[in-house]
This record gives sequence, structure tokens and C-alpha cells, in this order.
Amino acid sequence: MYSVTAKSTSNSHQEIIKWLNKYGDDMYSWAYYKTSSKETAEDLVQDSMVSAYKSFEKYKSGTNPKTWLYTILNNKIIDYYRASNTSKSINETSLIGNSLEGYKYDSNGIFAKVQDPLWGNTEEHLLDNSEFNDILSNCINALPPNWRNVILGKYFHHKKGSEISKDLGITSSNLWQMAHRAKLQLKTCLDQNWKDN
Amino acid sequence: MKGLMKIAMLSCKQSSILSEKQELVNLSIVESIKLKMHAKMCTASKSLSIDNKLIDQAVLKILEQRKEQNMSLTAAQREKILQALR
Ligand SMILES: [Zn+2]
Repeated sequence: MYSVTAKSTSNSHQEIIKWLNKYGDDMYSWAYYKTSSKETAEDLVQDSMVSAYKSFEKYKSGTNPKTWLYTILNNKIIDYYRASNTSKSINETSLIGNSLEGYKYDSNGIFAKVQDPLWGNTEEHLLDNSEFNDILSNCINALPPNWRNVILGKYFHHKKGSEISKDLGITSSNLWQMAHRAKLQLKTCLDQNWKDN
Repeated sequence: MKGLMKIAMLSCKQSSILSEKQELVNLSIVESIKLKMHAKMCTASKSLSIDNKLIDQAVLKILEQRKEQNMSLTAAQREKILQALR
């Protein structure tokens, strides 16, 4: 009896390692697309493989292991999204002022000075500028997880507002407020890191 | 009259929040009229919305590129996962 258990455990262990070698990179890429964070993606792949190993008896042999692994991974991603929506967002909010040089509001919420677009004038040039793209890419990665997830949902997965708020477990007013703050944060980040010559 | 105008008019700040909001949820008719009125009259907000559009396009482009990007686990990452599977 003991030897049978040991044998099947070692079989499942070998199988999982085989799957990790075969599908690990794809799962990692997928998790990275979904979260924009390499560390998070790595953790999600690891958690998924551990879960798969622990619940190996639920895998129906003969079916596509990749499908099964992706089901586990996608559930982990959903958990991650939900877990990232904590009360933390309130503290983050207070950190973000309207620090953009060109766009300072006066006490009535009116722009204190009228000026030209900061980046928009050189639109085509900037979109093809790899340095600008790298900076913006880093700015996206540096967003607090819940704000980043809103941005990813909107621009990456092209989801409707109602879908994103459902995925993230937040209200629709929370959603657009987060989107607004994320955008402000991106602008602040660009303003601080991008200096056009 | 001036007071009435003030109620009818959005501030630049409110207008920037509403324009973000409208991309994700439906605005009320009043909100939408106010936003359109402000956009017509305010040059500063016009500049902001040009910047917003650029950022939208750039974010979209960056994220689309990520879709095509294939990533590989490093040997160290693989080793860490193998450790966790022990
Ligand atoms: Zn304005």
C-alpha cells in the first residue's frame, strides 16, 4: 500500500516537472500580460504549479494538461486581482496631488495657467520614440496593483467598465475614480521622468 | 447671473474627472452637457485632453506590444519553482 502511494506521488511529481518545462514559459508570459509585473507573474506560475501538484488527482488523464493548468492559473490571477483591492487605495490617493507643472488647479479647480499640451503636440514623434515608450512602460508597471489592473482591463483586455468592476470586485464609481487617479499618476510619472530635448 | 453660470459650469478639475469617467461608465445627460460646454470654452482643458489622448494611444501601443512578447522563466526562477514543488 505504501509503495503504491509513493509511486503515484513520484509519478505526479515527474509529470508536473514535465509540464513546468513544457508550459512554464507560456504561463509566465500569460501571467505577465495579465499583471504587468514579472515578480507577480513568477509567483502566480509557482502557485499554480504547486496547486496542480497538490490536486493532481483532479486532473483527468488524456485531457489537455495545458487547459487544466491555465484554468488553475486564471483562477490564481482572479484571486490576485481581488486581493489587490484593499483599503490601501485611500492612502495611495492622498499621495497623488496635482503635481503636474503645467496643470495646476487654483482653489476653484480652474487651471491656474493656460498652456499648450505637454506632450500632445509632438504626438507622432513621441509614439515612435522608444525612450518615451520605455519610460511610460515603467510608469505603468510602477502603478499600485489595483490601479494597474484597472488600466490593464481598460486598455489591454478592452473590457467594458462593468466587466472590469466585476472582475476586480469594486463599484463602478470606485472604478472610474481609480482610472482617473491611475491616469494622473501616469502623467506625473511621465512629467518627472521624460524630458524631451 | 454669474452665480448661475458657476453652477452650470464645471471646473477644469471636474471636467477632467468626467472625461475619464465617460470612458468607463455612462454619464448622466446633465454631466454630458456640462462636459461638452466646458470642452468648447476652455483652452487649458483642451490641451489636457490632447495629452490624455496621446497617453491613451501610447498605453494602448505599449500593452499591444506586450501581447506579442514571449517571456521565458530564467534558470533561477525555474529552480525556485522546483524547490516549491518538493
Ligand atoms: Zn478647463
